[in-house]
Amino acid sequence: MRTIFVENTQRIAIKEGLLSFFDGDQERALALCDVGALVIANHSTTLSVAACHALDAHDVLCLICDPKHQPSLMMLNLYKYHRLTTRLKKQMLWSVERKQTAAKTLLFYKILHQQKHLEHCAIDGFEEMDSILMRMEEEKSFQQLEAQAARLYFKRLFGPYFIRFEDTFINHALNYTYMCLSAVIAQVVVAKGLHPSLGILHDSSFNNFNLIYDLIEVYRPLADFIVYQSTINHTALTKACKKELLSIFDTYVMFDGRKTSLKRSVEFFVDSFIQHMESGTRMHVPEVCFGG
Amino acid sequence: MAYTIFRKKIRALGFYFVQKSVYVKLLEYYDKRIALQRSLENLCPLKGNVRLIYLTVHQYEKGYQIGGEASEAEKLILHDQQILEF
Repeated sequence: MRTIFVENTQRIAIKEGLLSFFDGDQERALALCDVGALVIANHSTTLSVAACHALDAHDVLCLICDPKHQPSLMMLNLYKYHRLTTRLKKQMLWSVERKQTAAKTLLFYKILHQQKHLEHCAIDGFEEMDSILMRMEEEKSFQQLEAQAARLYFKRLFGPYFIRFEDTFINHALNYTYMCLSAVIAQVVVAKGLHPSLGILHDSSFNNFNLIYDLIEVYRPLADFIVYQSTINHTALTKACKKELLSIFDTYVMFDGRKTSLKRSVEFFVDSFIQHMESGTRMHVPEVCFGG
Repeated sequence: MAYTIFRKKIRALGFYFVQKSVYVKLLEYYDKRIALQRSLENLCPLKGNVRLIYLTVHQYEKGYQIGGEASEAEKLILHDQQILEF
């Protein structure tokens, strides 16, 4: 499955069943089943309605970048699931206890993956992260521990002067990659009939993607790994750097001992999450691999 | 007429035109061939000769171009980059 990065195309349409890209006299076409994601970075590109429907029918992720070249819009079909009302009613009735256990599991694995990332990059911090993980199992207030782990992790990874949300290349790259990852998760979450605003850990009334931000926690270290690798060859968010960051769509993770593509693992993960929230079964979490 | 309909349907399945009566599709992994075969059996016209041959990308690339050149579709399929820039 290819990722198509659109920068020099005037029009995207469906022609003879293929996704066609027109740039003046030049025309290139791909079968929709060969496209995994479409990232449109050109603001003068026209996307036909037929193409929108075809992209949705073939589960192609469509991301549109803003004037600052950050992915900001995604196409989501909120009404695809066949028993949407039933699923939404169940989602609104998720018990507080199951939300707590799921949230704790998600943050535990997030910190575990951060620890593995530091270990893979041969960066100090294993013991400190280990002590945070042990405290997480014992203490009830685990959200503060997440903040402690994040502070330690980012300083060790990107340097002691790194501050998240500053106007720097690393933060722009992180935002870019997190947005791509959010889009993959959002597509699966709405396809399974869940509402992305009703989260378990994040509960802001100003955030329309609380649930997405919850489920992405486990995968964040994977995005951090790709950004960290890109900082070796790049110092700005150039086109070449963005293409490296877009490789997140083609990564593999381990799920229940099997190597699966990112999107497939998200599907298994969301299914397991839903079963845990609705029936109390044990939640299976993906295991992020670093370096292949 | 049957050929035109068949051609339209296999293009929707992801087959790309290489030359007259020859179409190629890239499979992500080998197990997908079973589903593909079933789809083609359902689409196949009653009359006519339709053949399916499986090759690895390496075997395909080792083929020798005697005349003409590779089609745009072939160049796209055999592109070794996962991220294509258009």
